[in-house]
Amino acid sequence: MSQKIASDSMHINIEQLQQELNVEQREFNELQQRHFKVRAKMALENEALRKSFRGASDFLMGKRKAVFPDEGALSALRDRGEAIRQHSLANLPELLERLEKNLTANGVQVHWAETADEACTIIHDILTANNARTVVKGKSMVTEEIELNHFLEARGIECLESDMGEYLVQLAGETPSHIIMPAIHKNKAQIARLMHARAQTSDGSQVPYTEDVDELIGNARAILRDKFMRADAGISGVNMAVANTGTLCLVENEGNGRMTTTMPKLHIAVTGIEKVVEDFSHVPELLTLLTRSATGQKISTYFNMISGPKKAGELDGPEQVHLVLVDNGRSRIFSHPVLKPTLQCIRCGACMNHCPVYARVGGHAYGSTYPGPIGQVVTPQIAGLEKHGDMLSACSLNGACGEACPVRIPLPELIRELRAEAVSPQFTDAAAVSTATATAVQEVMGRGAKRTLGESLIWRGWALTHRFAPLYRIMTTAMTRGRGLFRSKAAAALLSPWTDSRSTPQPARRSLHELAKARGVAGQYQNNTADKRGDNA
Amino acid sequence: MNSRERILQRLYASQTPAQNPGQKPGNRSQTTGIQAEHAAGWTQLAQSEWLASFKQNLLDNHAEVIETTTASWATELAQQLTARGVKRLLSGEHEQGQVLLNALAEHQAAAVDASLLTEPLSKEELFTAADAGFSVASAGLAETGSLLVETGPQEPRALSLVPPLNIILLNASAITASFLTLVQAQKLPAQLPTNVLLISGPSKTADIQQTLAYGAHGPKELIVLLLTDA
Amino acid sequence: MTQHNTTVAASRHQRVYPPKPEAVYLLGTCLVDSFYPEAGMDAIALLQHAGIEVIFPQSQSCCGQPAYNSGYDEQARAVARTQLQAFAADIPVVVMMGSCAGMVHKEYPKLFAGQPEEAAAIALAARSYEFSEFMVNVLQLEQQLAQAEDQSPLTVALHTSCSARRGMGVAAEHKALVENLPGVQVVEPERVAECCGFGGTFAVKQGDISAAMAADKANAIAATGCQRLVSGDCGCLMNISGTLDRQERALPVQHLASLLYTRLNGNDPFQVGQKRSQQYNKKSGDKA
Repeated sequence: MSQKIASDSMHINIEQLQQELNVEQREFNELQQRHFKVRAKMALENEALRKSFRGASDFLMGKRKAVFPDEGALSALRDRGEAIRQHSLANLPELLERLEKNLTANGVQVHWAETADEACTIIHDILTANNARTVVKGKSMVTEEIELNHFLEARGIECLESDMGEYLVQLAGETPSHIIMPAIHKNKAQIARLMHARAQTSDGSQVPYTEDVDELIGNARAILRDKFMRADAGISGVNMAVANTGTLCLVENEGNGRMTTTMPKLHIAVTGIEKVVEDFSHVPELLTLLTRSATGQKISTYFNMISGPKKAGELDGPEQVHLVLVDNGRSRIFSHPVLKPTLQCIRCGACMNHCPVYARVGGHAYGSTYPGPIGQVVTPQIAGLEKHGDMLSACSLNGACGEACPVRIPLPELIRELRAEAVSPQFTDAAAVSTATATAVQEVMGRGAKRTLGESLIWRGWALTHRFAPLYRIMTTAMTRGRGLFRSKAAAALLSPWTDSRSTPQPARRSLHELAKARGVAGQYQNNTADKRGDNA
Repeated sequence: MNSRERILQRLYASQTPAQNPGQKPGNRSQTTGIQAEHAAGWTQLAQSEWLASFKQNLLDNHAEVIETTTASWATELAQQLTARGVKRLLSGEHEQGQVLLNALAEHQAAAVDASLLTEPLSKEELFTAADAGFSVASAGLAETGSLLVETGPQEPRALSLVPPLNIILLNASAITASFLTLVQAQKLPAQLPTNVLLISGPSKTADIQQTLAYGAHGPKELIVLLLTDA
Repeated sequence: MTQHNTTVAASRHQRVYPPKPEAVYLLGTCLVDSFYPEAGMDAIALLQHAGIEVIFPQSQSCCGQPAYNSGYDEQARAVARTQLQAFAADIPVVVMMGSCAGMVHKEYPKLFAGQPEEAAAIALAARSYEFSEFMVNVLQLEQQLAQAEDQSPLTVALHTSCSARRGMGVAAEHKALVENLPGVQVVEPERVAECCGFGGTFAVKQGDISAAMAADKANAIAATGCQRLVSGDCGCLMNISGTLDRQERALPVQHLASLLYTRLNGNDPFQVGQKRSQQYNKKSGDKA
């Protein structure tokens, strides 16, 4: 793509572009405050967005399929992945203590944060103690979860994302829409506009407009290399933390993770407490499951294993390495017998790639750090059902996510369980639950928050008509004899939203119960041994 | 109680008994349970296939592989560097680095300014002036086309990261089947270096409309010098 | 040969199937009961023809799935209890829909965990089979279709529901039954394994998303040029046919059991002049 723009018109072009982008950013922020359904509907009507997500989902599903050609081998590998993750969870507190001990022996400083706020404060304190005013960030979903960038920027610390997708999302003033490919919702043209209008080179000049991907990447590379060189501190995530050796492992393709963890004097790694594995022998299989499931790669370009700060004699590397272990609701998830498998997640994104709902509404519709199926399971548990219970209905329980999960998290089951929590008749005061310390907590925050009188009456009525044969018979008789009414406009109105896009189904003339009886099909099983629980016809 | 204590207490309080029957109650951290379930191996590459698989994976990932010998690699590399217009090359201080410097001196002294790093380099020079970094790998993985680089005083981390061209030297005999076999054969050092890397190609990204582009932040080009007689 | 594709073989819950029993229960399902009763009658006929006595307990109603999937476990349990009592005898249960089969076979043990009926629920789950699962693995019906009365050419789009495909793992069974019918050609729509958007209450609670999914599925099926849509799940049938109908692209639909029975007996309901067609005809506006 070429851009033949004279300098005068380029000046006007940029201002107009910048205004448009500002409006888009404002609209994005407003939309994130609205209800899930509003966002979903807007996404469904946005043709460009739907095209982006459909294309991306198809691409990623295809890539994964290509690297898992053998069903039997894939199944065995997923069994291993599940076993490894469950082993970690079965031994979680001991492994965390061992991890801390070995990291400390390696010279890494370990911190524990119960809440998002505490984690941000700890990180901020480390930065200020080291006079760090500029931070460069490697990709880390947990730092998105705790909203670290906002926290630091509000306190005057520049915090620049260095992963290409994250950098672009940050430029746009948005949040990531996918946990592996953050800018998946943007096409080339949108990115070109964004870079041209908002990217700033180190000498303050504008980046030329281009839709050529190599040029776009080259421009971003130049900008970010300057930051890697100058930043006071690097903040990264962690893909796996090995307890036995005190090692932090990072997976990446771009090199920004290595830059972030090598060039600045200070490196702060942040991780959820569930990411620990016991031994190095657990790493290769999880690694191959992760890279193949996420982007269809046998391995990422770099697998970066860090076991401490710079030692004497080494010419580069950070002088200080810190690890912040973040709970933020994970220990509560851990205590729930059904929902505990939530913590098996290795953040590969395969579930959202395979989810037909995600493919149609995209990541931002979920209004949370983690979108898609894993988002529907994690977010209500760490941030409460009151605010985030609505996204649970955006699931047809089709099971594609569970089928793709490399560590066999039974995602549809967990979503259903959370629905039961959301409408549970037992109400729990969220505040009281969050201060409970000694007792094992088993309830999800905001249990019962989505129970409504209307819906509970509907289900009670449904249960009544389906428990008692005579009532059920009356209902089906009414439906079959009154089948003509189903075609009426009144019925269509009553049966909306089904009838908004589909014709009303019409009941048959006679129910199967009636036809079977008329045919003389037996209603009871007569055996030599009399059936004491035989039912009544 | 501080945060650490509260978190650990909650976790300990909610622990269910070990699900794996292979684990003894008082010895929860046994890994034998999982090891026993492990199948023979995710990939079953025969040793005769290792070299070809190693090379092909690197090629698929946009790296260059040059098969050469102990006697000729340095001269070949010197020629490559001149041909590519490399002006400034950095290496760690080791035998292979010295061999390369000698070859460069013989080949064409003035063109390529090469140094063996013994002191930290200024970041400015590293980021703006260095064209190429010369590294040595200690192992290769056939399944994924990966190079194991153990960084340390003789292998600064920046060499395989900052300059846009990275050359990595590897003995072909150091190629093994996969990361899993490497770990199971306990070929990783007992005391891990500060930073160990698996490098499997030049830097890349597909973050813009799933279109692949190379040289995102790390090196845009990777050359693997494979010593077939070592 | 009985087909077991790799998905079935690699299934983590490999089932052991009983030999042909003397009697079975038929669990009609609430949707078949009111909307596709002919599917139940055709299944009964097929089973009886195989020499099996069919018991249809009149106290059965619904597996309880709608409430369960919405999280109303108490109400789901109440209704499920009725089914436990209805299907109490120790004989296999043939379930007419994939989603209901999944509910009984996989979810009943969880629904009744820690309840007095737990043992009964586990026992019922263990002897419950999806319709095609039973027909293939117990009766080998797919090997007996060569003598079908109706061998006229027919292109069929087969929609295997998500419950049947992933929950019960019976996609291969579905395919085997339809492909082995002489004259029948199975055409596969684009994105064959993607959800049609029914999802039970999902269709109502997230109507916009559901409609978008249904539209895509309807388009894909229409694009195959098939003459008929067949499925083992009536929710999907209603969803897809209702969408096509609204778009004035109505397509004849049949439950798998009905396709089998009518082809075997040469009384295709969608052929002109057949009396039985009046019973089946669901074209829009028809009040036959």
